[in-house]
Amino acid sequence: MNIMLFAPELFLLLGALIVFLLSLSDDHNSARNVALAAGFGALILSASGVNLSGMMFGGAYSVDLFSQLFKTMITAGMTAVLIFGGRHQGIEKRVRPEYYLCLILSTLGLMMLVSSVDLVAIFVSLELSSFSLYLMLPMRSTEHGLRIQMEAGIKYMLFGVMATGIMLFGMSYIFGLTGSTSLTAITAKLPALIHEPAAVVGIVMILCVFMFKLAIFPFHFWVSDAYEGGANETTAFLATVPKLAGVAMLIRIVNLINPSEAIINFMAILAVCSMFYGNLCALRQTDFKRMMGFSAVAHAGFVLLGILTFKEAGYATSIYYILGYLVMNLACFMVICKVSKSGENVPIAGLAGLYKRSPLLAFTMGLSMFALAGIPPFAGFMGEFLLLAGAMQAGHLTVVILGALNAAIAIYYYLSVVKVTYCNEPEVDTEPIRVDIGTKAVSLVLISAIIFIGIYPAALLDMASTALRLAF
Amino acid sequence: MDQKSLMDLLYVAAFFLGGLGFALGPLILANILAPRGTRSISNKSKQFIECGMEPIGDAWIRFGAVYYLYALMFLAFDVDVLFLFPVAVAYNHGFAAYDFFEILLFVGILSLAIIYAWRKGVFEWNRRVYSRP
Amino acid sequence: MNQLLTAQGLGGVVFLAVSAAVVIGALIAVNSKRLIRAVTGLCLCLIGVAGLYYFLNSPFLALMEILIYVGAVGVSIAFAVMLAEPRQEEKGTRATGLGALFGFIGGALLTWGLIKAGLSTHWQRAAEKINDGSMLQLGKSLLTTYGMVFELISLVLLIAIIGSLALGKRGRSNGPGKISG
Repeated sequence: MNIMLFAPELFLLLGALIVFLLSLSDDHNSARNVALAAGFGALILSASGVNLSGMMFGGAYSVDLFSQLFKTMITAGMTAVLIFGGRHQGIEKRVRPEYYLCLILSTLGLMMLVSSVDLVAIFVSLELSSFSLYLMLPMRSTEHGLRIQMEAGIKYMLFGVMATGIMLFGMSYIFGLTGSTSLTAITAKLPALIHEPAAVVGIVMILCVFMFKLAIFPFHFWVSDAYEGGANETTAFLATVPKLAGVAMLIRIVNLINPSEAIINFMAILAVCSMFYGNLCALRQTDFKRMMGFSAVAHAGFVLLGILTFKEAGYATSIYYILGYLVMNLACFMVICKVSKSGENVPIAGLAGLYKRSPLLAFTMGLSMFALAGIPPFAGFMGEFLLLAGAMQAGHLTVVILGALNAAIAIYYYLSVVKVTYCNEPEVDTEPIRVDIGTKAVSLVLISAIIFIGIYPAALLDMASTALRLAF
Repeated sequence: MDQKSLMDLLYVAAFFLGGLGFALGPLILANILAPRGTRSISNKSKQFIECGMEPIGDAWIRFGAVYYLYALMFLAFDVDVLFLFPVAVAYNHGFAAYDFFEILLFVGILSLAIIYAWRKGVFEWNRRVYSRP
Repeated sequence: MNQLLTAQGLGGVVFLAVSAAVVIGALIAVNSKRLIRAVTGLCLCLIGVAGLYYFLNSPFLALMEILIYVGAVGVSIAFAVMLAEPRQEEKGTRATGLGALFGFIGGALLTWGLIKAGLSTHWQRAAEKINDGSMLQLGKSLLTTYGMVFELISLVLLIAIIGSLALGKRGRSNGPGKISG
């Protein structure tokens, strides 16, 4: 067993242990620094080990380009959230070390999730990441009320536990049919069994939990309340990093089965419903995080467009799209974390005059909104375009037309944020926002990533295709 | 189901019924033996306690469950028993050193929870006093 | 009557009793107005489920169902009820009319679909399965095949305990009750 294969996870585990020891003495500043160092270390280790491959732990854990790519994105997301979270003022001071512990373990769970090729391993690593997330939501500081974060935490937990239960039920069907929990063995046996109703039901039930993570239509109920109720830093994490693992696992599970008309139609309906629901609800929101919650539902619908083609190119586009989504969302949540003075929620109107208070933040926000709206040449446009083109080639014309319609609806609410940011005069706060050096660096990295991802899709798509070919 | 496990089940059911008898018996006995009529004559049939001081307030009060944090910890440790049972049965059927290391790691990680609780003063006994309405 | 008194017959009676416990317990759990009665109903239902596991040849799972769900989970929920405000538990609106109808239809459809899927599938014979599912086999696979999962579970439990303590202690210090020596 090559220890380098497991190095990023081990490094995070070490970081978690140190943060745990620091939590015993309530030393939240050191805890934050250790968490940041652990995130950085894991990022460097996963990025440098991107070409490693091998199986571990009795075939339950596969390290390949696919998993390493996702691990790099996941650790990058976590590190960015930690940097621009600053001193995490939105989190109750007394539980901050525990918060960092949860953050690290949640990231660890997601990293192990993308590498798991065994149903039991998938379940337990998913639980590790979800448990930590359930705990992070109510850890918001009580300065601005207690109810909202408790509601968010309870809702997220109840829906999450329900989704996990559904997944376990599905797994029991698959195990009962194939007699194995290893995905490799299941891949070998499942195509012969695909006409069994229980196999289809089982796979769809397993997909449910990852659709829940992505907030695809019938599993979206938690999203707006959880986004609104979580502290800004927590929402920044919740809105970005778990989605990566969700896409990775959707691809892994969907890859188990041959496409059947029923499943494709099922996914197409979910995709269209998500887009319409998300975009129409987002139009009327006044709270920024709530709007982003509904926008997440709509974007999840787009991601599903790539997966329902059941082709390698489609999967690759989904990976490309979710990478762009990660970067765009991190950028706009970074601005929200900085604009919010003591961890309160920021209404869209609160962004008024941001260009005067901090030109860099205003530019980051504007750019990420343009990108999310799908305006060329940024990341969002290329992703949406490629997804729609892929679905078109696969012959889903209706879905493509409805998707394009949705892209048009979405422009309205994204651009109205840009309008508020640049054209409206500030109402209350006029003093400039001080941006620390770390945040500046992150924002520059994110801005260049949004532009780069949009302009050079080919390199990234090639990489994703190679990863998929090696993994499956 | 084979004969042996069926018999086991019947034994369990018999003991279950016996236990149920111990729980329900006193209730039934009390119902049979309790004197009737006296309390309703003195117009106190709604009173919970029939002798001694006049009771104050309602019996449906909120109990001060100071030890609820133990219940939370107990839950998690109860779940780990679920895994330790089979592992203890299988211990030393393969490589003892490897088994030992795995179980040590498992118990070691879980014992961090005890350290945490200890350090945070969960085991300190603070009585909560409630003001009754 | 003679058939009923054999071991098989009595076993059948026990099976009917545990099935009835599941259904009655579940009905009590969802229908009672007082939360604490709902908890008791849930415990009854879970005892019945444990009995069903026994009939499915998993005595270990049945034991654990009683130990964890009836024991620990039941106790935790009872504590949660005790910590909640005593008066609020009586409030609570019931779904009536259309909501109840849709709920019933949805539940019935789901049950029907699952039963249909289960019945019309050609399941593997039990003999073709990998092992007998005994405690020894379970332990062996936890130590070998699922070694990583085994360690990961301890991590999940650790974060669950730490998180619940961190959040629970907050409730303790900020709660309405006063702490006195």
